[in-house]
Amino acid sequence: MSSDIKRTRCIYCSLCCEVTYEREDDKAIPSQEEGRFCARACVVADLSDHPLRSYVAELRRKVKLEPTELDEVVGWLKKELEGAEENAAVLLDGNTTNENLSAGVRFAREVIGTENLAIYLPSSDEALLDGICTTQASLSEPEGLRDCDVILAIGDPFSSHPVVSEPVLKAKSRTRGNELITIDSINGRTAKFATRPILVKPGQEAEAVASILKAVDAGSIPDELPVEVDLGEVAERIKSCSKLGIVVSCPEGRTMAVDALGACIAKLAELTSAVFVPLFTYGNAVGAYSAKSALGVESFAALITAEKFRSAGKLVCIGLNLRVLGVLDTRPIVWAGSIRPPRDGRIIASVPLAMWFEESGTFTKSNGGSVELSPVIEPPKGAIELRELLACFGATADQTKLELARRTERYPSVIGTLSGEKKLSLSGGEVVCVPLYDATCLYDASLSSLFSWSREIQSEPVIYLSEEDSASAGVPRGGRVRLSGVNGHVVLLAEVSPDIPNGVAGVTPSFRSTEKLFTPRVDSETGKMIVSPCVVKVQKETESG
Amino acid sequence: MDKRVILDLDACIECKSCSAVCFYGHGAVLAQEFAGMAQATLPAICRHCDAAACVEACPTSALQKTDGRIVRSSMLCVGCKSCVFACPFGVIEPQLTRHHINKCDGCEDRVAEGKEPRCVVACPAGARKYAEPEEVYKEGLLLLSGRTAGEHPIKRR
Repeated sequence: MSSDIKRTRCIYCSLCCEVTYEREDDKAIPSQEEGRFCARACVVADLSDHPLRSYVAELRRKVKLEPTELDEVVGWLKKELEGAEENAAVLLDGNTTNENLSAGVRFAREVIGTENLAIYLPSSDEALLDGICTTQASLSEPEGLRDCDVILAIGDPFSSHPVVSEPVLKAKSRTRGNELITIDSINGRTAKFATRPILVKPGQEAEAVASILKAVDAGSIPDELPVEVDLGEVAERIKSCSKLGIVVSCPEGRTMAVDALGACIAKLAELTSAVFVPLFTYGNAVGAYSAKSALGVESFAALITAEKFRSAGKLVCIGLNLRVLGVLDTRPIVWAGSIRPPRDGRIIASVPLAMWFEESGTFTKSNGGSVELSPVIEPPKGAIELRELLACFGATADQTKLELARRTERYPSVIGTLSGEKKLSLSGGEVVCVPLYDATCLYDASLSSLFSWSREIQSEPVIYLSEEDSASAGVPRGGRVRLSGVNGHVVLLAEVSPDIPNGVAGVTPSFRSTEKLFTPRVDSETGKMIVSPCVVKVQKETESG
Repeated sequence: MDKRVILDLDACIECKSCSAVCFYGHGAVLAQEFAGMAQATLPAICRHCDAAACVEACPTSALQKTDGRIVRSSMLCVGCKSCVFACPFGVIEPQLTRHHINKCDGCEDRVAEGKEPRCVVACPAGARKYAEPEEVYKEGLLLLSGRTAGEHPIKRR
């Protein structure tokens, strides 16, 4: 390997693939010297000098945010936070190194002196881990799937996490009779390779897994829990296999009852000693979730529904993505991130941070091991590594060991939520919209839709309808449809797809317009943040709009 | 016979990673499109044909077959798009910029160093091979038009 080529880890999903980049004009370019990686790891070439990249510290003096020196913002922040322990809250994005998480927690507790502190994870990652931690299931690496003779895939992992496809397909083709069984609400890329593709309605995935679990071990699911899906044949195949592999992918908005799904699938893995590979959106999902438990930090949703948070006068947001800001309220925000803050009157100061390929640190893998991030290039002038920023305030990382804390006593209550989950019902002209996350898009629309490659291959959002639904709405292929639902309406280009069942629609997420369909909301009773499939009415868009 | 990029349909998961690595590895130029077929969306790349219609069609000899690959001379290209129309596979992209088309160059920079093309190395599903067709036959795969292979192409299950 030449001296200009550097190894690091991709943070765009929990597989944390080893990737190699080379430095070219102060940008990081995928070098393809070793390993395989998906489209997400390639777009780093756009990030070094992305138009939205934040280079300059800013302070709102009168009306606008104005560029200033970092020292001035740090000095101002130190004064603002003095004595602010009852009046400030810190929201820390979890997709950062374990060292940054630890320093961020110390910043909140020791520098500001506040317990108003939360680590943010996508709601699906958090809920899946909530469910998994009610069992003793071991988490494995995808390589372990190669030796399995039956693989059960929930969702569409080949789309969301393409790198997992190689061991799964190798396992399927290794011996005649090996099987890939999929459970999903559309005929996705994984289902196209399945020996038994099982279609369920959006939100019914947890119930389907509960059905299998009940057939494998009747005691794992209470008798009073109604399970309307019958997958006895699948359960028999699972019971008779030599080695079972389980892969689950449920990005935000794809399904419902994700915690119950996590509990059921993990319990099945535990009982069958399966190779269990849960797939998360965040690279450091397990590290961030473990930090929450080990350091006694609130979940994001729990914090923002709590009374103590409501009384905090100021927010310090470290690395939060823009769609999450939508669930916050009107208090002034100090923004620390790699991307420029949006035009938002709440933001009173901004500090530019280095990106993940410009800093070092560790992430925690699903199986508890560590991976190392190494800098490929220097951060641009003006941007600072998060740990350096927090060190300006005297906060440094400690060496707390991060582990997933199991709470098996919660298993019955998490499973019990299946009975309370409202099923989605449709009236005439309505469909259930699910996001079609794949490796071409990142979690945050503000970035995904502006990558030069993304613009080339998908310049506008699309909705995929079944033939019957598009005919009912009178929409031809390539026509425009108006989708109306509780989150407002949006007009999209329509495509007809044989892979989409009647009553369901797939939309390309990571555009501002389609992201609106899946706006996060916080359940005021449970404190959970929820992003779920949405029911929309489909109408042909007329020229007059 | 020369080595060429062969797509294994039994493994292609349509993730478009090949398109992304090609794009960023060639200075943000898109040279790999996707074509919808009956049950699959397949990458459509230049086949570097033995009897290339684009080479025949080019009025300025900007397209030449060299070392098994069809390469384009950007200085000779006048942007007439004859090659775009001539290509029976539709893998040459007309661009809005004059004197400019996008097509696969077989990663000649990497091949010259003994490495494989970017799309082959990067494919997360292992669906691409850089091989001579005889090697593909030996694996028991059916070869279609020299560029796509599979135990039973299209029928993934």
